[in-house]
Amino acid sequence: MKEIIRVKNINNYILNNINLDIEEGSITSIIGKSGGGKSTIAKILSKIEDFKFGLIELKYKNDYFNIAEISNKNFYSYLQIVFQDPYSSLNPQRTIFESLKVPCKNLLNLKKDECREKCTSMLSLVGLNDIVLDMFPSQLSGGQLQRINIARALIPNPKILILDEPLSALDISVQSQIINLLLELNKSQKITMIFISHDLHVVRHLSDYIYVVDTGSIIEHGKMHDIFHNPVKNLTKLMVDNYNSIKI
Amino acid sequence: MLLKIEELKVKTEDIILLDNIDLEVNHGEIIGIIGESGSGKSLLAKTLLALNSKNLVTSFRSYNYEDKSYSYDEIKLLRGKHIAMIFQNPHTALDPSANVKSQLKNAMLLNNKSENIEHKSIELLNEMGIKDAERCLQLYPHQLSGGMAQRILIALMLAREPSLLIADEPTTALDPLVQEQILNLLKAIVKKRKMGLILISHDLRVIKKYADKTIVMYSSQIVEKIETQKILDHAKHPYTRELISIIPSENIKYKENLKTIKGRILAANEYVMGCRFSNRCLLVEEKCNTKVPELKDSTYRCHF
Amino acid sequence: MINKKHVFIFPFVLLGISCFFLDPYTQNIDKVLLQPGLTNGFSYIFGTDYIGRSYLDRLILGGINTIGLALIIVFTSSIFGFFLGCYAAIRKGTIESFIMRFSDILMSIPGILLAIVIVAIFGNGVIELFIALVIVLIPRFIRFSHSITSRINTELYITIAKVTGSSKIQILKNEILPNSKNLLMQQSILSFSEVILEISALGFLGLGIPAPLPEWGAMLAESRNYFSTNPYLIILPGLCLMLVVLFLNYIGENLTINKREKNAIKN
Repeated sequence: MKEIIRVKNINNYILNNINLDIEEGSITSIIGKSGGGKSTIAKILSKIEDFKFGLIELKYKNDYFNIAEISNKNFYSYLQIVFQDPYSSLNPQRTIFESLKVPCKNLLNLKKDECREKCTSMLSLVGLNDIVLDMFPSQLSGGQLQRINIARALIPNPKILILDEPLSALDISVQSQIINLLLELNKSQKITMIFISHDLHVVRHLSDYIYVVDTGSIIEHGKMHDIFHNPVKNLTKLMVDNYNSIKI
Repeated sequence: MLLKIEELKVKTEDIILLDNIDLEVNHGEIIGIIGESGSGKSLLAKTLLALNSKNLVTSFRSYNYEDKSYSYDEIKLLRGKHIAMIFQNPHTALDPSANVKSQLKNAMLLNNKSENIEHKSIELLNEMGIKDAERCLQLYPHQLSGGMAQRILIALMLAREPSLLIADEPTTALDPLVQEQILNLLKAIVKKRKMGLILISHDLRVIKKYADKTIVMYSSQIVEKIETQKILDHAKHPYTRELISIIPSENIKYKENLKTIKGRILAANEYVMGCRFSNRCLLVEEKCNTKVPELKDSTYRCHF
Repeated sequence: MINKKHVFIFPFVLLGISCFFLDPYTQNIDKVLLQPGLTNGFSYIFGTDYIGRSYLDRLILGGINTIGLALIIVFTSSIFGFFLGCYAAIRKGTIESFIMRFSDILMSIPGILLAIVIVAIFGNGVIELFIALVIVLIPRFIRFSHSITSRINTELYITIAKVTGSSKIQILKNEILPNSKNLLMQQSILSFSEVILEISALGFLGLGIPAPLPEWGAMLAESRNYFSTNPYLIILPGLCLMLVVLFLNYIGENLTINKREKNAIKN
């Protein structure tokens, strides 16, 4: 079985019968209109929101486990999430190191000096100097902060990374750097990525597989190439047409 | 000629925030301004309506609206009636305690036309592409989606029948389908009413599709002015060319690393002698660091 | 900031030391109702009251009693109120409703009245006074910490804290407390002067700190009959009260301004 996440029949106040299979090592994108439920899927997959019906399973060493039965500590060592707004993901009153220390201690059980080392190595992985560790979020740019958020997510060595519109708040020139970083992480560390975005240029460039969401349901899904060249449902067609009309 | 500005400068004490901006907008024309954070594009938008805070000093050689010259203090007379502005987040510009009907009414009353307000409101909403205008009039801002709120804001601005509209990142927070609708709407209005539109965005794709002329800003300066249809193949400034090349277009191989612009933009207090893009430019040479390049042929600011 | 702190502590230290030398209890029938002045020696510089007790000593010790009790009341209310409010905001649901509505009920009764009722039921005494004023003051802190915690809980970095494995208590300690520390201080200082006035008001009504313990409000009440002949008996405690409240408000405001400036500079 190649799927690392299996989502079956999820229903809640927004979502209707969501079924997803995320292949291990792939970059899967979820696209759709605003308010359609893409972010809700991300929150449900990351146990930030609850659902009443359905089942989500994660694959770990050839076995599938119901996420409801996985402890928070184990779960968040395996799956992590990065959000859209780079600023509000960090406590403005704490230094970067104080914020990054938290997963080091909670998820990796590291001691004080080991934390500093781990944070430094994570920051260099995302291309940042450890000088930012003693700075406050307000002193750093959106691009730097988003990299810090990614570094924070990578600390427990997760196998799955969910990214909810990670580029929308960033300048175009910074976006290209983050895109390269994500490509690198996917290739070298084999991290499975779930990428939520409405920027189809980026989706087209990164994704192996795409799910299209509209008003709480998955209306279409398929390989990137099929979705972009043979869209079936109306919404998908509209989105692809829009992409084609402004593409560079 | 709707608006013409020459040598606009904004500074605070000794830091220059906008450096020698020349701008021209004609009736029925859409000027696109593209720039990233720190380029000064939002400051330019505010300066055009004299909305700067008191600690900023603004100066210009001329500010001409409809062939009439204005001093900085006179610009505020143009606000609303002649030059209107819309922003990225429409919800912060709408009064949360008043419904659409009363907000439109207030805007129209400012024009001293009190007859037929309801009828005119419905017409205006229809022009915005809002189908159920009667129902919409009763709604409050928090009941509107982002796209609807932006349409209402545009309607409010248009109620005063201005000739020039400044749109500062009007669709950045919206998804591409809604973005397309709003921008198509703006374009249609501008062409139909022979208005001028200054469209500011950090998204080159938006500017390319909708603007007639493009102005590229970097570090408080205009670095390129070009006809939009020529931008992909004939852009001359290295920054513009790099902006184009870093977009994940279909020319770039699938999943291949994108090109990046190395280094970072200089902050306003870090400006050096010479070209402000020199620390990131691939064509950099000795002369780039010593002399500020002039706007060549009024099109691009580079020594090459 | 260092200079302000020194000024703040100095009078208290002085008072603390001096109370070993005070004797506000000895009654001297031959020294009754002496006018303030230096003619009778330093310890009678503010004169004596209607039964010959040194007014200086009574004022100082009265101050220590009032302010000291107020301090303990504010401290207790703020700590308990703060944690109750936080707990309500985190737990949500029925428990939250229960705590918040209960504190609403308490707040809806005017403070003095509630304190009078409680003291009237349970009797005069420092402990009863303490309980009454804590009950009156606590809802304010519950509300305050509940609103701060609720607001912070919606922030994205709290979600991230959960995603990085923080337990609810860790979140309270690491994210909520630092953000509310400053506001809690301000609120406490503001309440401080209010509590002092409430203690004095109750003392004036004869319901507060019991005789013969000196207390400014009680001293005011005792001296009503002597206003025309010995006005200092009323003026002095009134002046003390006024100065203390003004001083505390001034400190409270300055702390607010200082912290705001600091935060502005930081950002």
